[in-house]
Amino acid sequence: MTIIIDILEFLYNNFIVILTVLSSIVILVLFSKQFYIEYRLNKRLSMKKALLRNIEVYRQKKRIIRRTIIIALPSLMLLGFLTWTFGRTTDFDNHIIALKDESSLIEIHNSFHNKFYSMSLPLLSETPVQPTEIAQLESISEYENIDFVSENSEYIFVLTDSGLEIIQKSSNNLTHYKKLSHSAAACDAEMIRPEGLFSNETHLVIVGSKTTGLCDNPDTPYYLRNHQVEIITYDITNEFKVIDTYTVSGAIVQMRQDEMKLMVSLNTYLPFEFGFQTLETFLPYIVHNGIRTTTQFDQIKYIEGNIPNNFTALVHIDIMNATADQEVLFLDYHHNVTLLPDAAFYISDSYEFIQVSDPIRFKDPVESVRTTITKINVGDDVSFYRTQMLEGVKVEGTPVHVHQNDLIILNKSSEQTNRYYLHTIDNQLSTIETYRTVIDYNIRAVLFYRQYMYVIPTQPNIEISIYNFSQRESVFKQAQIDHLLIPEYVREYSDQYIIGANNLTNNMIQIKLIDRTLAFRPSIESTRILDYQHYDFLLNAHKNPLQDSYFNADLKLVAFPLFSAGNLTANRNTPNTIIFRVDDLNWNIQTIIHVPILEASQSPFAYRATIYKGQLVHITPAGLVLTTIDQLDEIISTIEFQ
Amino acid sequence: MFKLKAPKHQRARLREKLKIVDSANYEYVLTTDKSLVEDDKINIVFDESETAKIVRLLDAIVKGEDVYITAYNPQGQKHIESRRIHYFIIESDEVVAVLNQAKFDVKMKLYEVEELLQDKHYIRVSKYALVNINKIDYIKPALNSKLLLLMKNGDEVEVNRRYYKAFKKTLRI
Repeated sequence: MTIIIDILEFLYNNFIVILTVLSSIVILVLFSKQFYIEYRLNKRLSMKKALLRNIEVYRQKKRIIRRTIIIALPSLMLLGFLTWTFGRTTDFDNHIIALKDESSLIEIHNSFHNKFYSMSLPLLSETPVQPTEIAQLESISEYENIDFVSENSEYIFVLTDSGLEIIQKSSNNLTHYKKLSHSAAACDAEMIRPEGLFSNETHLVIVGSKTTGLCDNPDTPYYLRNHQVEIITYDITNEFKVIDTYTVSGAIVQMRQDEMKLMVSLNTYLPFEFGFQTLETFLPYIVHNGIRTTTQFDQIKYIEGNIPNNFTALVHIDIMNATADQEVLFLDYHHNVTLLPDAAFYISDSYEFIQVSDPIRFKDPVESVRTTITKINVGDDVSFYRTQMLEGVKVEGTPVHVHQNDLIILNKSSEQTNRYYLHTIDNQLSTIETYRTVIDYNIRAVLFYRQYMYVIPTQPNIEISIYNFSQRESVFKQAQIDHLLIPEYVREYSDQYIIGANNLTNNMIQIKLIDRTLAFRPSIESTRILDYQHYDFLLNAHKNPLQDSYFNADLKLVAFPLFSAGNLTANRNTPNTIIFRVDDLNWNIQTIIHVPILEASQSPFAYRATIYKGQLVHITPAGLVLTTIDQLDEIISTIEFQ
Repeated sequence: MFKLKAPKHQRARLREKLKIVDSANYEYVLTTDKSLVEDDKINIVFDESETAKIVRLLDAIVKGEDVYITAYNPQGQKHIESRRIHYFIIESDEVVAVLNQAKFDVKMKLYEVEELLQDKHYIRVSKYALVNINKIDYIKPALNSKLLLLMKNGDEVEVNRRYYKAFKKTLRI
């Protein structure tokens, strides 16, 4: 049925093209029939003559060739026309349009813009569909396998605003080995901002972002700034000499690292509304050790129906082999991206318009909005794989959840506010199963765990619904649980337990240890109230108190740095990190220690912890503190960074 | 008219030498093998070494005795072999025999000429024309269910819609 509607829609929207193609086909059929009759009659004539013993060489060959050309030429022209119209630009199966040059990009933009604002009468709503924003609870760390702290067998690396602090692991202690400062900038506004680092035994990689052109024009709007990301590889075995440098254009949206292979998704906004000289300056590029490679217009793919406002580049850098590659999409700036070790998935909205030639033009120009999912394969190189269309519109911030070999995507109806869709798609983006559910309340967050989706309502009096999508053909609501069973913030403590936190009033949070063995029936094992004011901190209700917490289920340790979600109201040398032992699932022993912290205005304001030779190492951008594990308040040594 | 019946290894070679095409309604069986003769047909049994003689014999059978047409032009009366005439056509109520480069009046009605030449591979293509099949160079179909015959002398003769089917039937072997 959908196919028939699609065909009818295509016929309606492309009447002239269809008419031309059909007439050409009719003419072609008539000529071909004529040609066939002519061929048969002359063949019979020659046979007849042979029968009549009138054997001679005929002059028919020339005529046959001429006639063949007459038939073949229009056929070739028709074929050429069809190839030119459909083949070169649009891939309907993949819903992509390959750009040819700058003018084709501008044409796409203008065409979209003209259609989008084609109404002569005021619209009921300015934008037909507003994406819904739902928080995701699943991931706390910003980037996968990339952090501000990294270690190998010999060193601990701490990335700060001012540079890289290298701590050497000596026999029984830690010593500050050296500091590598970030490269100097022309002004403070153009200073490099650390994004993260990762390492192995031989290589250390630092990722930082920067913005140029701000020294002279510090008030340049964000979208007009020239964003870049710098990736520097150091040789750990050779005095931290620089091995490779990569500069990629764009602002970081997401990145991850797997086995020293870095994947970065970047946006380069095209400020059509501000005007510009040429689009060429916005083309995404990679500069590898001074050699620049720019992706050209004809290598960029436009995802059909997306708001054309942005180049999204997926950069893949193999650190050990020192190679870099990228694939660029012409995509809506407001997309969701999910990076997996071998692929990237982009979720965005695709608009379909009514005929612009509509003489009355009083209707909303948007006929429908659908969600597009685009897969980019990442292997030896980075290459576009496929785009698929899904019913419904994107839900802001919802990533693609991977369950076995299927992708799970939540989006919602563009027409009915309370209708949500849960799509199950195979990894090749070929088979789609859609489960439709009516949720008549506001959703605060959605959490995916194993084969379950937890829909957490905004109102505390409504229960949390748990949907089971293990059978892609028959998704069902398995259970409803009390709202309190899944707190506002959660992090994994062990395979069996998660730790959750709720903001209470009066500067307090409630921490819960939750057993998730029965995923559709979680149970609270123990709770603890933490009063920030008691420790001279003022709780910021908008921050995640679990952001920097350190969990070690083997040692039954839970460390809460209060500065993650709190502002210090007293001396900065007062104790600031609380450590619990979760013995017998109860928050028994509580130790408060002081770790070096930065001024509140400085960033990154991170806390991490690690175990080194039976000692607990608390790491912040301001320094390190070593305590024994048995006596957590027994500080062995402190290293403050200069 | 003919059917060649010969062992497989000889067949293609003999067909080439004899310049014949097998027809569905044949009267003559040509064979090099006595056992292949058909009782209800005229059988010609020959040895392959006699092929040249057989070719002449077949020419004689097909072409037979030529019919002569008495025709006139300003220089006088002439007897013309029918196989030399490309077609007959009615011009100003007169039947004209058209040869390669010349035209002659024929003091007969067109149907009389048709009757006279009925075994001589002439075919009626319209109320006004009778065409020698052997002199048709090329057949060109038109979009309006008519045919245009391009004659070997460069003339064009139209096959009328009414004679279209009969013309096609005649071309069948």
